[in-house]
Amino acid sequence: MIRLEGASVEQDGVFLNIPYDAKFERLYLAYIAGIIGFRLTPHTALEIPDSTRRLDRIQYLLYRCRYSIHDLSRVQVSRAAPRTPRFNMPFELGLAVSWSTQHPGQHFWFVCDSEPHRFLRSISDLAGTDINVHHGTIEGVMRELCNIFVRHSERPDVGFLMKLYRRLRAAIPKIQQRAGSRNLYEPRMFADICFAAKEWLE
Amino acid sequence: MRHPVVLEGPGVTKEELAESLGVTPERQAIIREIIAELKEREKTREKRKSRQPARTRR
Repeated sequence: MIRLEGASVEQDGVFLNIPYDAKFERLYLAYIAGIIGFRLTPHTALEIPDSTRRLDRIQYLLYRCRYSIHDLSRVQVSRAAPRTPRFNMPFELGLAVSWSTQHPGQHFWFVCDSEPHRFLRSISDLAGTDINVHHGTIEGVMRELCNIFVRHSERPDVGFLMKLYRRLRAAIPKIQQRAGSRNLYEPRMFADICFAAKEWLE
Repeated sequence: MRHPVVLEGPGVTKEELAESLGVTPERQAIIREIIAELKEREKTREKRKSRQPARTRR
């Protein structure tokens, strides 16, 4: 059992449970730009160093964040043999559901997918749950983030978030070049991308 | 449709975000430089656009 001894819940923290593949890069950037646009802090399992037991760190990060978003749009069977379904995203969603049930009012989880009713076939236990459908588009992600969050002091809309996304995307080649990285899913790149989005916002 | 979560307060600052994600001051400076350059380029582009005369129909 993971305990949050000494660590407080990050009130503005959002645990992002997403697939790390090349086809998802655009949506990955969209989630980062959108979450930063709401003045929240995204967190992912990418921050987890290899030296620690991955599951412990995932739980620690997830439980520290007040919110979690679980994107199930890539829960599919892998192409490489042996063909295996990807269980990480639904598994982490299960951890979040369990944590929020045990700690009412402390953690809020949301499910996103690219198709409206697919989850009823892949995880029928979620029947009766309202999920957020982004149809696999950047604009869809921004729209659904606006359906998930609202901030009274400054209310970002889809147009504002799209502009932030485009600006962030324009900065990516330079950030990668300076970091000597080809992969957006590296821990350092994730942190740098988040900071770049924040820098654009300020 | 679920009601949106109402976020309280102004949200995280840039400093809090950098600390939370472990972005070192050196990397912050590099990113700041990259974004400043892009902002400058965007400004120049906008200026150039505003200087262009509006197209008129013949």
